[in-house]
Amino acid sequence: MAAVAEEEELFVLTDLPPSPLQKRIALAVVLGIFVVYFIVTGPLSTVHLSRVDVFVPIFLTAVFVSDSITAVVLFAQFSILRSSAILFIASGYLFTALLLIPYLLTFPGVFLPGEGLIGGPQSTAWLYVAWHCVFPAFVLGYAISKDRESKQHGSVWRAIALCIALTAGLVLAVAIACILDEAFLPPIMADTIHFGPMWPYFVGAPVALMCISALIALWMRRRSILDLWLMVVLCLYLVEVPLSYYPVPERFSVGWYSVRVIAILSSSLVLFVLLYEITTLYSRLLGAVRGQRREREARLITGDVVAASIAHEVKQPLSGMITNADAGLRFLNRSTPELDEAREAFQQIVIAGHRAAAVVTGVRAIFRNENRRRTLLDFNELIRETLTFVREDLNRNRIVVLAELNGSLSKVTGDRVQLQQVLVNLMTNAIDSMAAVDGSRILSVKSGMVDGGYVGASIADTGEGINPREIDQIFSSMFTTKADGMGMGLLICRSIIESHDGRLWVAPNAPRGAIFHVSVPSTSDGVLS
Amino acid sequence: MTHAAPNMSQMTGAIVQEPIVYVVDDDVIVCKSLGLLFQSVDLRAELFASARELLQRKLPSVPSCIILDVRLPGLSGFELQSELTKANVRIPIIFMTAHGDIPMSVRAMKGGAIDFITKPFRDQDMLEAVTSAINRDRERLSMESARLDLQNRFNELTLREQQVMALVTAGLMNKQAAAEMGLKEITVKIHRGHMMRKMDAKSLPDLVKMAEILGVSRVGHV
Repeated sequence: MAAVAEEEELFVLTDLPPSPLQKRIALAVVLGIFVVYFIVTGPLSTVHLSRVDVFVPIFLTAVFVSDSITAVVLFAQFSILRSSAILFIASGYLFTALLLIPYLLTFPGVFLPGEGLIGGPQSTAWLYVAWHCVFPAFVLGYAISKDRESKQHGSVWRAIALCIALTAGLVLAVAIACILDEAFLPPIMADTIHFGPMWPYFVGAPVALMCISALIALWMRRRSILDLWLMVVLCLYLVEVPLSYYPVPERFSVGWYSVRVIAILSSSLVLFVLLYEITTLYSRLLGAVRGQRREREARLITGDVVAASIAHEVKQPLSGMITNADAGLRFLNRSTPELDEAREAFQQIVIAGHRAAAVVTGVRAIFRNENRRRTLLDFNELIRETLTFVREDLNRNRIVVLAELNGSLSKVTGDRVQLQQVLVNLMTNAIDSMAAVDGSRILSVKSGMVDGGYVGASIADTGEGINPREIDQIFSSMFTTKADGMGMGLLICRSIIESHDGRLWVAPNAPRGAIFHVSVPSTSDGVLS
Repeated sequence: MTHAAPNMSQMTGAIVQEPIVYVVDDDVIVCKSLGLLFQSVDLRAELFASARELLQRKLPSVPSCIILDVRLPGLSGFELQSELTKANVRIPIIFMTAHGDIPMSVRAMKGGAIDFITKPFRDQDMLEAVTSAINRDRERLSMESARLDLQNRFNELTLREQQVMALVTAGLMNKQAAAEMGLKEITVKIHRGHMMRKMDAKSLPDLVKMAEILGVSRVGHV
């Protein structure tokens, strides 16, 4: 179980720790940006570039596309992981993508010469402030909420729709404030080209403040690859501040152009990393699936070999019996029956018959429990222990556990390991069946006394449930609804429970899912020896 | 047969000897039951628990067959089959197994087995397989002894007679053979008459057939 859990953890992208190489690459990106900064503010500061108005829509389109794709990928991650933190960061990317629309419309000189299509001369600058302050705020929200055990229990799609609506509303509010109330906002721009003297106070300081606080929050809770690259993104945001104002505080300067290029980089960085990671994980997943298939085939072959060797062992004495009987008949059918030879043949039949019986007994002994490993057990304790075994799986799939354990349960005599195998199997099945469904995921485990001196336990899930037509087959070998299952689990579970003189059966759960019932005789009634 | 060597009549006598069935199976029950089955139809059977035991036994040249279990301790049934082939023992083999899958039977048949029987089997099937195997072995033995017989007769011929046989069976007329051998035609005729009598050939086609079996050719003997 432990090995499987570790293997599965690797597939949760936002929980993956960054490798040392990734850390080094991230550091290199940050240092590289500082090098760019010194080149731009140093040797290139005297270069005068001409104004290219078409650069603005090109750069904004690039940022819009990569931000919206990043948002979509992150929302998709949320639908699997159901972590509110992912919702924050996905909304952040959606916010920047949507905010670029009013930003483009207000940018002077893009659609109309010398002025924006809508808004006044200060609108664009204030939208830039909103962009660079609100995104770090979303990152801050992500950083703070990511370590909390805040799981989304309701519908995933409703949560995503709500987030999109709220984010769009926020963008609309910011846009209205920056465009319609432009006259009331403090002036940032001296004209459509030059930044005013208040730029450091209204733009530089708040942006830097937001970025630094988000950076600190992330640094303190840094754990995953996503955290690492969000920190790099914030560093890039931070570099934009001095680069915009020094050495030349105006639009279409070398600094200004390089800030836009850095913005494209910062918006696509997380996307690149996400895509890279998804591809890597996909290949690992493929490897794991192949491995599982091989393992399954190996197991199936083993089962086949066991069955064949049992058949062989039984057929040998059977063959002897039949041939002896044939020989005996031939001796008796002679014109003068040869009784001594016939007697000899019948004696051989008896010997062969006993051996066939011994073979069958031996086969049963292989699969039978060894009574000496049986001990007196508390079933509740067994259930609690098993729940800790599957805790990881439960958390990862955001499953709520409802345990109602009857405190006055009699003890049972049984094989601890085997009974635990049954419980682990049943709980894992329940988790697997819920991992694929939308909506509430509840595992309810109950224990209690059942009529006739039995200790009973039930494991109910809200998963896909069992097709009524298949309910009779699920305990037979080779039946499975799982792509990676070999269909032996429930068969073995039932044979373990039956070897404890107990029962294992299944019933549908309401409104959906399945309930597996286990009952084992309680020891106080002396049913078990 | 009048010219047959003395040892020939011994060989001929061997063909009517009692056939033997060799049973090789490590399972005592199966082995004994087959022994009883063959006893019930008055067939002589010898039982072996392993391939080694069979290999150590000197097998007389009487019509016989080997019933071989595929799964044996030590040398497996298939390994024994190839050992026997290497040792030029051509006794027919009937394989039997309690597994009985297709690849296994294909392998057995490719190795030259004449039958493949899965356990448990009907006595009728086993007895039929054994009978046909023994018949086949009897044929093989008689062919082998006939060949040996011919060889002996051929060896009895003088060098001249052997040469005449090679030339005549190659289609040469007496005259041509005489020219080839540098003899008079009448001399060749005399050699030919002796040769035909010694070989017990009733006609020229009969002699040609014998030459074919013996591998006598003009090139080889002239």
